[in-house]
Amino acid sequence: MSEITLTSSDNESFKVEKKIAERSILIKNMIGDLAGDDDDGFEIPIPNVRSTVLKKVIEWATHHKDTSFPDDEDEDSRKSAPVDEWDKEFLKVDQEMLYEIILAANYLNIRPLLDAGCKVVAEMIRGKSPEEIRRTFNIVNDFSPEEEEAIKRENEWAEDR
Amino acid sequence: MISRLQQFTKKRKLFFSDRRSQSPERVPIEYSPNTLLGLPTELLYKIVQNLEYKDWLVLCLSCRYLHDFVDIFFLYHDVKLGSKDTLHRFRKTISKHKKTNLLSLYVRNIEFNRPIKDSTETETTSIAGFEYSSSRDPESYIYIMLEIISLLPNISEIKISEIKPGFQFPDWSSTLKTYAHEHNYYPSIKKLSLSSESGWNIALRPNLLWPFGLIEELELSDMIIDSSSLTKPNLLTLSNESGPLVTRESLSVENRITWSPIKILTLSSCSIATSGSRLLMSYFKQVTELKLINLKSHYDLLLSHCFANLEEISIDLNSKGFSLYNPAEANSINVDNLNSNFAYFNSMFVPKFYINYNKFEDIINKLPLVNKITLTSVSFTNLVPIDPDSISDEENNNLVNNNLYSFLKFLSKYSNVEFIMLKNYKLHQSRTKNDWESLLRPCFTNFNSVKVKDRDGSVLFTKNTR
Repeated sequence: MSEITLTSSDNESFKVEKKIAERSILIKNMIGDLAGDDDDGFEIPIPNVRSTVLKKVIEWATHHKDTSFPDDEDEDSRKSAPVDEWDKEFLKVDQEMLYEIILAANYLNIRPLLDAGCKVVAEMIRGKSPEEIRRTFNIVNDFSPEEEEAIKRENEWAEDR
Repeated sequence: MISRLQQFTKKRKLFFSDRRSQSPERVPIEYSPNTLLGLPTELLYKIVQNLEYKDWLVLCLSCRYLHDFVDIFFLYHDVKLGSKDTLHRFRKTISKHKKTNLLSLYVRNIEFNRPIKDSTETETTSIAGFEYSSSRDPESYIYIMLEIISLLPNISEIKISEIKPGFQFPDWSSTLKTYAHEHNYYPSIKKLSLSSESGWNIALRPNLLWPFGLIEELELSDMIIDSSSLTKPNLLTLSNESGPLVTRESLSVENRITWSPIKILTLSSCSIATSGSRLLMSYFKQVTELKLINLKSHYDLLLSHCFANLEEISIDLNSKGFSLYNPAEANSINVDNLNSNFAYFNSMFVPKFYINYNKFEDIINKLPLVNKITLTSVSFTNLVPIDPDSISDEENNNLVNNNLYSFLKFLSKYSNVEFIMLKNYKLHQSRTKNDWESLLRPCFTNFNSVKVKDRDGSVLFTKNTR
């Protein structure tokens, strides 16, 4: 078996090299559990992912077909590792698409893509003021000025860290 | 953590439906799934995890939802306090409106970094090597620290890190005096961690434990246990019977024996002075689980014999004590000789434990036969167990693979064997049940159960008793 078919929620099918599809641990396990050795054209429905998003995810997996992701790091060093330059460019999409990619990576269990996506969103938060955060993420301010002051006061202990 | 995130999501949904039925005109804002706030909480958690304190503080101010979320899972979940000033402020925050203060309920872990001994506490007398101050100052670092702890009902771990040489708790802070004596109540804490200031190895002293009451789990990092670590200072005893580091039983029963209620003991790069090892047996008689992390020397494994009631032992295979890198070997890189070359195996990422196994095999074989042995920071990179006796073919006779075989064979005498992987294994590659079986077969018997867990705790493989 060299190729498998992935079908998106809106019924678009993508023929993908097995090695590429196996970047998703979910798919890898499905192939391991369900497919026979000569089961060419094995088809997997991906009911949670739209075709435009699935296409992006496949693009990512194709680029990283031969990447060996560092795997012996602990949680902390993975957290601090910067996002790969190509991934950064790849994730320069509108916010809605970015969240959809994150959701898809989570569902399909593609850890390196999920990590990169979450880091990119974190970067969008970093260093901003509360007002800038609200503007960036379309958040409605539901605090009164007095409440805001009270929160600032209660968190004073953490400020000089 | 995942269950707490689910709880949070559930509560939030309830809250939404409540509000909607009560006052339809003041419905809280609900966000669509493809927005930051519409993401499932576990993904929001992963995002916020990448940020630091100062960004958490800003997120708190952006809206109610993020305020609650960040407070519960980040800002107040793990609190780290440094200077006395931060202690002051933190006390103010959690003691405001005591009855309705939610923030104090969120704290699970608290760390006091570089605790200080105030100069106001100088009125001390020295008895038998211990210093006792007679007065307590409600504005002293230690007083505030203990007051903070008493205000946090859900605390499970207290960490006191980078303790300087000379730091000590005064005698009034002993829970035996303050609680047990006056209120007939003894506080308890799930886990206490103590570590030395970097560059130092300070000695454990009873005063470092006595403010915390009954401790279930003790973790010591870079500390020394010597002859004075595990003794009871006479001055601090109730009717001169038992010290502050005692079990409930020995408190109520007039009992001369001092032992601690500690059940789980973790020693991370600690040294035990020979004078101290003599006391381990009686003092830690309740210890059922011993974790040896970052062993300085493989001889420290023999410590496990000092615990009479040990049921579980856990050994960090990635310890320095097992890596013994020998520069002479590295210099003589000899690619033709695959069997004995440290540098070669090292370049193949073979764990050093198996490269050096012959040097400590005797010690390993002396480990006590307990109910369960856990090996942590395990890796099987480029290893296949090969029985050195069954091989006639010289080429296949490979040092590290033979060592893996011998080690697994040794483990087969334990009725429960558990491996905890060094990396988050399943995210990157996966072994099938058959792969695991052929890898670990030498440690299988008809009577033991073998389990492999990933770093995050999920089970990768199990073999139960037949």
